[in-house]
Amino acid sequence: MSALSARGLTYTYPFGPQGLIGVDIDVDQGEVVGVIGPNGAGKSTLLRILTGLIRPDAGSVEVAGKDLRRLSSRQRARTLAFVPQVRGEAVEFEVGEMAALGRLSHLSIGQRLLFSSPSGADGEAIRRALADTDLEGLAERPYTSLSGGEQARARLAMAFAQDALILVLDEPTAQIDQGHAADLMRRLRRRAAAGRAVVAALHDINLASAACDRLIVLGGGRVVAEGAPNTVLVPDVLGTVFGPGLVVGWMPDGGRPAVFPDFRQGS
Amino acid sequence: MAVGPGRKRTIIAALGVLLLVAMAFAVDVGPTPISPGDLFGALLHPSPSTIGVIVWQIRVPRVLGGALVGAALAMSGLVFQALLRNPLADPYLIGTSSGASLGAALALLLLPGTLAVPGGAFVGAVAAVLAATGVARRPFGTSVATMVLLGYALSIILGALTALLLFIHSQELQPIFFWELGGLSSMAWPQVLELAAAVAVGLIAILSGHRHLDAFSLGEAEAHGLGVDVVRSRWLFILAAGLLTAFSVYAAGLIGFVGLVAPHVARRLVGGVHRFALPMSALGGGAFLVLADALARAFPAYGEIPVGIVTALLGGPFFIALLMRTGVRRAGS
Repeated sequence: MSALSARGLTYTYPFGPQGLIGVDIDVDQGEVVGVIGPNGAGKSTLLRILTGLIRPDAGSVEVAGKDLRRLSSRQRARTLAFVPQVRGEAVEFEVGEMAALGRLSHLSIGQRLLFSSPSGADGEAIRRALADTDLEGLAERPYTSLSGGEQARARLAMAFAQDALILVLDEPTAQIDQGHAADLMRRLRRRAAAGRAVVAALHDINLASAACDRLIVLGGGRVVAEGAPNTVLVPDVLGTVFGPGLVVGWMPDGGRPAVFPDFRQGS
Repeated sequence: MAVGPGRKRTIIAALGVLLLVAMAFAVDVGPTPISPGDLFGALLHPSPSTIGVIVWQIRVPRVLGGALVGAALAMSGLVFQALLRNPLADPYLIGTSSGASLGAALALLLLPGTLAVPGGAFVGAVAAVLAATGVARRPFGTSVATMVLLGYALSIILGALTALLLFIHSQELQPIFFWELGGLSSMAWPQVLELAAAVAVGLIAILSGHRHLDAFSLGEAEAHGLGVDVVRSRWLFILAAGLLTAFSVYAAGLIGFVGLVAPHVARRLVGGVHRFALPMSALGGGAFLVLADALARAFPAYGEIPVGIVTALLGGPFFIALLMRTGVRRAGS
């Protein structure tokens, strides 16, 4: 059974960006799946549907074998955590307070009303999330005082604290440098190795190739290709989706493809 | 600025004491000089003496009402800032107060009954919030600056509609006239009790969802991901903030910038988590308006200056400073 599975997702925006046309997707426990594609290919739309943020016109989503529409908001959040794209507005929380918010869906009504910080199992989950993101020492620091890489980790800590089977991330590396991006993907791989299912929309094809077990290539709202990086990142697919001007090479270990801009023919 | 929860509670308690001191001070301000000793005596032993009547029938309700209006405006400002993820949101600046004013004017013209006017103010306030948040929730988001300008436009349109009604029906709408400048001069015990009830309801509603409001201040997609029923929670907060704005307008007219200044200072001191920021804002808004009103009454030669003028003169520059700082920090986004 897939952790996350969707069939025939179709969505049309009344106006604005590309929707989706009949998209199927499966994500298993233990794997990191990357969703790649050019701007406007429907990556964000797909993730928004997978997380229940928008409802598809047609098609269905199952999380841990249950129909997404039948879950309450709290039930969904305990199974599926979502890290949306960062938009750069100020967040006036301390790091520990953000991680604590990750427990929101686990708190009983009484605990939600209480003014104290979560304790017991919730406190333990928060502590673990901060440890898994190396933020224990920064728990009392305001989010705004952190570096870009630390901020990305703080957002990850909030999702980790949710302790969900499935983790969905929209461009988690969009605003951080490559070293921090690699670090973040490493943490996601560790999370998957511990039995979670991870799906992330990624802008950087090479980061996706290096870090993901499987890639889903979206173009014009459809799945153009799907599979291991070396079966997906081939000239045909890249030409169809991204247009001409890209060339495929290999990473130093030879196992995974890397994509470069091609200036050889004066193009 | 790592301030632990214990320190935050201490800061909130200190502000509570400050509010009480400000209220005691404000009760002492007025055209009839009262010595602190007499004031103390009159407060402890209500009596039908002249001083007793001045203190208990005029000044105490006015100061209490001022504290409640300030708290209500500050709480709704805090809620709007979280819902709209916009540090510049304020019930006066985004048109909620104007909506309440227009709703009340229409109710006064069209509907009978004592509850019609506050009811109209409530409906007008909520409609204005829906208009402001509806525009702000366009699929691709709205920048902070655009949002503020839209709020202003909304506020101007609603204000113009109210002015038009006032122009046509000047006789019937006499009570609305005094709202335009915002003042506490007509505050009496019945209004204080109505305000206290509205503030209690609003406070309990917002506190019941304080963690959800935290999630909203990260963004709606984030709140959804954290397990918040975004639609239902947003309604709770809009209704609560609308109620608070409506009753503050009903009791004291259009008073600006309290909802901007108080939450800002509050978040600066205790951080953005609402279980701390909400009581902090309420106490700070109360203290701010009580002191502004004392200042407004401190120059008997000019009579009473409407407190809305004082808060605008104090809060306006604060707003400009905030706008410039925000504008610089977000120029790239």
